[in-house]
Amino acid sequence: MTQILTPTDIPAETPVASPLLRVENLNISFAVGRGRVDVVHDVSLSLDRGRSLALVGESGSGKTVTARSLLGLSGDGARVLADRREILGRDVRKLNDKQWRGIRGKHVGFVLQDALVSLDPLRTVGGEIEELLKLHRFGDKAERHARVIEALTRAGVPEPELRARQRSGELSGGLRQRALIAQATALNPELIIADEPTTALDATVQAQILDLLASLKADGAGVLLISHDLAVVSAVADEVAVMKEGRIVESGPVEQVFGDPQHAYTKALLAAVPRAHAKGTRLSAAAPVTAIARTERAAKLDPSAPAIEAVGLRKDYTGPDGITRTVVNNVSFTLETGTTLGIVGESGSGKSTTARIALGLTEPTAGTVSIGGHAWTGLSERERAPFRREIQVVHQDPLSSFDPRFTVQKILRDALRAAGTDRAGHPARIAELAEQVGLAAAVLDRHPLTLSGGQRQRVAIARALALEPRILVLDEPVSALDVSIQAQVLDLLADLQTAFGLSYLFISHDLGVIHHVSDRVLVLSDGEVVETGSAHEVFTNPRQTYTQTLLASVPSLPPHTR
Amino acid sequence: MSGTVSPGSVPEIADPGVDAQSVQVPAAASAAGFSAPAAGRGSRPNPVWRIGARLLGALAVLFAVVTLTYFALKLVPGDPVLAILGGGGAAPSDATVAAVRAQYGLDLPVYQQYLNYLAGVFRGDLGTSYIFKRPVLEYLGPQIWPTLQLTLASVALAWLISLALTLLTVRRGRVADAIGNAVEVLFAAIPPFWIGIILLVVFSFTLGWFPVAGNADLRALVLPALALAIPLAGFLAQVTRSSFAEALDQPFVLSARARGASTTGVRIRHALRHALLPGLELSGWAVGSLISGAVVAEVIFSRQGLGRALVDAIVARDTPVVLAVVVFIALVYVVVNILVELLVRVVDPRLIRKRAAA
Repeated sequence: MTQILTPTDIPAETPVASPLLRVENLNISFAVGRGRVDVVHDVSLSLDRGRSLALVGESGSGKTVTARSLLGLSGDGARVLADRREILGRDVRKLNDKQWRGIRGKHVGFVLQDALVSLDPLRTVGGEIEELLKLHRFGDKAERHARVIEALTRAGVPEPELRARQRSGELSGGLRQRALIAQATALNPELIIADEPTTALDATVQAQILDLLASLKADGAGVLLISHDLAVVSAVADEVAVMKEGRIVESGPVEQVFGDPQHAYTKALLAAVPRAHAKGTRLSAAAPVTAIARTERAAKLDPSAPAIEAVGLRKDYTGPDGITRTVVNNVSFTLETGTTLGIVGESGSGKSTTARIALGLTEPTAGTVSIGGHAWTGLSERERAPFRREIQVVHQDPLSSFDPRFTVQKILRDALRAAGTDRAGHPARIAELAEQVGLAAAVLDRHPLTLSGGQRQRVAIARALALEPRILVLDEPVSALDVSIQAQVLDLLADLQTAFGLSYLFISHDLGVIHHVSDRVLVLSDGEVVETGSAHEVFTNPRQTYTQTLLASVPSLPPHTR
Repeated sequence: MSGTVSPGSVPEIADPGVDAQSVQVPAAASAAGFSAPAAGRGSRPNPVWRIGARLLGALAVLFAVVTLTYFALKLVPGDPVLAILGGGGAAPSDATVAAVRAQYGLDLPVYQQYLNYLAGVFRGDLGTSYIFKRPVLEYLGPQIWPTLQLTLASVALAWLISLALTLLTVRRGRVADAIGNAVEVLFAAIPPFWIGIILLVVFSFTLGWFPVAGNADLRALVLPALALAIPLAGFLAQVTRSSFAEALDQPFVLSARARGASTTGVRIRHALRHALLPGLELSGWAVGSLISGAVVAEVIFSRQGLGRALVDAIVARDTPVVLAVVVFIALVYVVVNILVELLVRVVDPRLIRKRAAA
């Protein structure tokens, strides 16, 4: 890279001293039916060059709509009103579409969540970046190509010539996100808006992307970061604005807002983040589920034996290309009855395959599993059936595991029927299950599609509990939830474990969550066990370099944060 | 697939870390993680072998069509010799019947006749027309091009109409959407013969813009092609509309807009390409069925063509001609479907690897 990037020209009429972005009393409403619904109320923001402002809030808080209004892309039927909405000192309230197009991409770069869907999957990465350059009439073909390669290089994409010819689906998660950032920054926009740029990325990749955003900031760009992840925010942002229900409830420098939160909502958000010193405490303000009744059932499993004992598990898959890959190799673990074993690893580490083997859904190539002292592998389905109800699963996205035509009541009844329980007892048992997982009775008649993420996950847990299992395999049960909902679900799981003496195999890529819930931890990488030990040992004194790197890459809230 | 082979790239349980967003592209990038790419590449099946397999498949289809049609026509009651000798009106002597039977090989056992026919097909001899007493190829040859011309023109027009409907009405406001939808349903529901007559009355008789009949020049092609294209356009537009609307909801559309692309630019450069696939797959079927369906336009507009030849041959029980037309239609189906598959791969290059792997 010999060519030196020059800052993009700032429109001549713009005084250089004006802030990059200034918004006062922004109000956004959408046409719904005949009326209008207000989604953003009186939001004021300001951002300077070389600084980063984070908009924090949960889904539906209005942060994304606010950000998109700065691109003039609030969506169909949106009405945007503001006392002041300036980008680079230019009033953008009355711009027509053509004027907006001159700003988008050139002065404001926009980075979305996952490049797999945020870059056109049918076009090459290079083609997508080149489109930006063409739209803004940048150089000739050779110059554009050079700039594409340069932008990819700057975003830390190795082998840029090769990557430019590939499509987003051919790149790994980290490279896709880099390509997406390269696409948004190829013309050196002064303002970069990043909407959840690291959600769905593994911890180590997330750390790399955050570094990249910080370096763009250091180069003089203003970064508007949208995130629900408070730790991510604290890694990049200088200032933070906390949004709730379309309003900014608290704003200021990151250290001040996170260190000494004033608003109750900010405090609750911060308390909901699972952290080292919060282990063993409740994360949410919700009252613990009490009065849990338990119908006693003759136990098939020996309570004195480990809930799950896995020895030397190995699983090979032969791909369509005829190459055999070992997905899980020599994995052994013991889940003691009534405790939680956390399995942590990045995508491709083999944790989901391990879960399937534990559930008896996948037969291991080698190795054995026993549950409660009974052999669990090497059995025919008929031999396994009597023990099926002892081990149940809760997935990340329960919606896809519900029949969309069923009401919650029917989902639970279906599970009870599968267990072969007496039909007359069903209504009472369903009411009991709903109470145990903290679902209001009114929810029973609704369809899962109309429920919130947290409610759906409670339904999934109730369905798993319907069979009165001794063991629950929890496969990323809170990964799709907002932090405060996540806190409630984690608290619920802890209550249920205490009440029923359940054993949990808890799988997650989120180290904070694993630390919070686990008694013992198993760290997986490339299908092998890297490290195992008590949660305290692994998290405070990791012995393996891999674990140390993994832990170091997790952005954490500053320790003084309350 | 993605060329990224890490342990665990067999996503058994969706891996939420990365997979949450990968609904659009199955498996491709899922679980790819950030580990080193490489491996897996170079393991694609040999393209020569793949094309060979495809051609063998095509031959098998043609063979099956010839065989099935041959025996199905044999099952039709009635003596073909009577058809050869001039149909029900004629009263030939027994000697004449026997002579003709021997001349056309109809006195042989059925399997022998079938083998003879197959041997003829391999030599490029499709037999002799019972009615015209000429080699079938010689009789049908001049009919082929007018029908192909009509079919291709219809498909092209149908695509033009459906793309225009899609680009102009999908997500262009509630009124435009409703109009587009209504037009499509109407088009899809119109019978070709009815629209053919209406076009004839309006544009030929009343306005005199196009010739009433014949296949003299390209002007004569417009109305019959339109008559066939309008119902097809209705179908094409309906499948294109829904996939187009789906594509417009994808995040990459927002990315493109944020890059500074105009609404129309995004529609044409991004969304349209995603919306083409279902319609393209449908086109393979459409071309084949248009050839046999061409008869409607050919009769109304008094055009030469295979469709009319087929109907005439069926009515006159001219078995060799019927057989030849059916085989020709099958051939077109096979060729067009191979072309469609190639086109689909141009539109969606991801499929090359996906299908190769499958």
